Amino acid sequence: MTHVTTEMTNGSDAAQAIDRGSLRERFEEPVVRGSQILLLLLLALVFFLPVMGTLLTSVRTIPDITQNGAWALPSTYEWGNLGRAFIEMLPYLRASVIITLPSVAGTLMVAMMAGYALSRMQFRGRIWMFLVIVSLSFVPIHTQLIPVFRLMSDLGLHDTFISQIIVHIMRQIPFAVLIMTNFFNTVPGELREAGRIDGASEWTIFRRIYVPVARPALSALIVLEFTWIWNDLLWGLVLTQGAGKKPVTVGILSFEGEYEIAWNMVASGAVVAAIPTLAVFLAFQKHFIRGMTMGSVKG
Amino acid sequence: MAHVTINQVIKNYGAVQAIKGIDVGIEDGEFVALVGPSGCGKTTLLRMIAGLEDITGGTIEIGGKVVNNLQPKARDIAMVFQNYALYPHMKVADNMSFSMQLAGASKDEIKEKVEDAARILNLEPYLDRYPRELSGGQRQRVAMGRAIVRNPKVFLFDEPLSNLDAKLRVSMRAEIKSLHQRLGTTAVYVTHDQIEAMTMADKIVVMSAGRIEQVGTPLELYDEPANLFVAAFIGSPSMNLLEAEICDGGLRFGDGTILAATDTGEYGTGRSVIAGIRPDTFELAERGLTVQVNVTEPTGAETQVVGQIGDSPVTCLMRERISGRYGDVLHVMPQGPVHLFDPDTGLRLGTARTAAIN
Amino acid sequence: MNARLTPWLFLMPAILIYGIFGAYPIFQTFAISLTDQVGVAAPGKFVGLQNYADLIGDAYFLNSLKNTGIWVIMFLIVPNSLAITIALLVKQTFWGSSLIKTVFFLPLALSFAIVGVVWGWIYEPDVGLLDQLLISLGLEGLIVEWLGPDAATYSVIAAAAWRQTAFATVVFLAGLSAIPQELIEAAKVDGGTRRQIFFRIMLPLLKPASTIAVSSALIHALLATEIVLTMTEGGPFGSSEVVGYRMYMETFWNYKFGYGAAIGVIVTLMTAIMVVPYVLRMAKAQERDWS
Repeated sequence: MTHVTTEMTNGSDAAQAIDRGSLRERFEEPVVRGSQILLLLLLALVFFLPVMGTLLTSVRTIPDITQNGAWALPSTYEWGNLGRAFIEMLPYLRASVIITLPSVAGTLMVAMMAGYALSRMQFRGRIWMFLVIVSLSFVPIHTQLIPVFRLMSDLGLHDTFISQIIVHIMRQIPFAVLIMTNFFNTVPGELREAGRIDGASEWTIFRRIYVPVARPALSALIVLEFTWIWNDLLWGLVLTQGAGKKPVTVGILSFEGEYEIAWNMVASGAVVAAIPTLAVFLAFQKHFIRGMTMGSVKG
Repeated sequence: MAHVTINQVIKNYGAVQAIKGIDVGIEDGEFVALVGPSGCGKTTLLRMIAGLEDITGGTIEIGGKVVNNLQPKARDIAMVFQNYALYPHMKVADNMSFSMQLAGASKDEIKEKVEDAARILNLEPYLDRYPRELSGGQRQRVAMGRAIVRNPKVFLFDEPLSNLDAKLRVSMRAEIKSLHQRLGTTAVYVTHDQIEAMTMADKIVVMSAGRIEQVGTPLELYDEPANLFVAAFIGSPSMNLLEAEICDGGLRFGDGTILAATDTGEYGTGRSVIAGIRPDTFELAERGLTVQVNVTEPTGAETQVVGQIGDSPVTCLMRERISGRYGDVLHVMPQGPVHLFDPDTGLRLGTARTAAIN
Repeated sequence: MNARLTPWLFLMPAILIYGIFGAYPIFQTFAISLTDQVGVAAPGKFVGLQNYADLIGDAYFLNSLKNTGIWVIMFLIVPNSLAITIALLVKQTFWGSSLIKTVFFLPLALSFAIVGVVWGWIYEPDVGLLDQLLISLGLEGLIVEWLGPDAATYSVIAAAAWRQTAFATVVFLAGLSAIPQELIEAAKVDGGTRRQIFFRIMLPLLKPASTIAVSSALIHALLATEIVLTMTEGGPFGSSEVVGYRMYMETFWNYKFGYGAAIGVIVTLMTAIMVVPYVLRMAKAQERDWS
């Protein structure tokens, strides 16, 4: 056991080594870590301020705001603000629901079929088709606004739900197809071959094997598409006239115009308008994030 | 080069104690294998030596210097990771010389060292490639090269061969061993594969559940396992552990057979023991232990008989070509040592030798 | 089903819907941009490149172009550097804590309409949250007219950057967690300092994430229409207009469809140039997958 004796003779060296090493580490580590945490919490606070300010203001009274400023805790909580805002926003919320749900469902159906074909079938022009779809997902809305507006007017679909639904599905197709293609790429091809050997037609393989397998990708896609379609503003502005067909994003603007300096009501309106997407986001945050990374972090 | 001393080392993860006070002395230039089933703490221990995990209690010394509070870079160690951890955005040469670049070595020195290492590892044609352009075996060599270039005090290996196919593993095993003998650098090698440990190491540390079961040379562990765990872990196929009872001048086995045995007197008649018998020490006999055959597996050179003696499962490795089937009965005699263990503590009692049947 | 026809049958709904309501309009926009069409009632007559020529001399358009330039530069720098800082800090301190991540991801759930309304009111003189905050911190001196002619563009960018930072944080966090921990450990053993490991290992390995974050920032900066519309309506006096908003105004307020279409074409061309590298990357990755 020679090392035991060396340990004894080098005892003082070892002790020094401890001191030198640990002094720096002990000092540096907690300081670095502490300042990291502090910086992060500060950033988080700044990030959260707009949301917090809106929530606080939504339940205040106007005199409270003018007397105590926006950052004090409310002197009284006016939950009625939210109720009033909700009732006023109701037609817009209803319109948003009627527009968003079919749009999401339609997008999913179309995208699943196309994604399945692109990912699982060999055919001429496949890579070109894929390239076109990737490129289309970047097409700015501005190139389509005018002709779509004209086309919908010609078809007599101006100021209808159906025109908004069609347009949303159209706009979401490229991204959704991309996601579904990428997802089906990760499903082993043997599944399709096994299905064929079991005597299933292409449609049956798609319906009975691939659609059920796609559930994780679907939930991510649903959450994303719901948020995006619900949050759209421009189509809602361009394609509608009367209040009944306008989505809630347009509603919040007219709400703002109507109440102008009644900040508590504007904030309440914002809260009411944001609640559906916020709720979906908070409940399905994991899917949301996965969807974003599936669509983008590739290669 | 340096010796490594691990002194009463403890590692806690929250309330869970992963390493429960371990002492190991590693001599200068020694090749030590840390071996044990997954979750036994061997990798944790290695990472503590590397400085990648905090040490909850005790000390680790490298070359007589306590390194508990030193960053990995200050410990003068090199490590080969399980998945090689090659930097995907750097060519092989840069992967190998990254540590030297960081240390501010001159271009000429880097070039020389990298070329030396590449020559030793037959990597010369690949220096300009990216890791993704290499085969698994070549990547493994680059990971080794990265360690060699450092000329560190200690090499640390974290299951470096586990991602290679069986054939490559055997050849890399020999290569690492000869490399170690050539360079003479202290090495700590983590593996769950006892054959790797047996064939490569000067000294093996068998661990389980955060403790050391036994430390010794490969043959010491094989010939005198300190307890049932080591007995079952070292050797392949594993040692048979048969229930038996000390009787006057012999051992009574589960099938009722009594074998005359030396060196059993001191334990007292009637005491139950576990008799450990290596599969290759069995020989066919006219009379002896009764093996009820489940299956026989010929490998050409030998035949492996899997069956039962009494209620205990048993594996016998026979020179003869036996074609038994399920339900057949064989008689065998252990011709080598019979290791005796205490069934309660699992500790080794001693070795007996069996003779003829009483 | 005919084997050669099958894939096209599966693609049919997508192709039909996008073809009629998406692709065809793209070509039409090019066509309309060559006419003097006003409103939808009657098609305009062909005027060649007159609309584009007019744009060169249009002070409003040039101003919006300048603002879009500011958007692009600010958007490339601010959200991305903030996001990478946040992602690194989260990863090193609160890794796995979903609460802290939720705080940073939250703006992603909000529409530009909401972001615009909320921030518009944060910037409100005197009673707005920002002025109130500065007053309570004793920093009255820093107060300017946030949505006035000088600051409006930057204020709107800050609001949009809030949301963009959330997106980039998602991307960079995903990118960071895709880096195998072993590589960082290997670099530590190789003697890297924190700084060296970041710049020489992590940053190069974050390249895919950076590509995404940068392309996204570019596109959002080029198209920033909804947020300008909600916060300032391009004002005051057109000072915060961007090209996308200009296009909307010319078309749907002035009913100059031909002129608006020309701006739309320019916006599209700018976007196309920006996203080409990204599209090529995707195509390459896909070809690898399929081969």
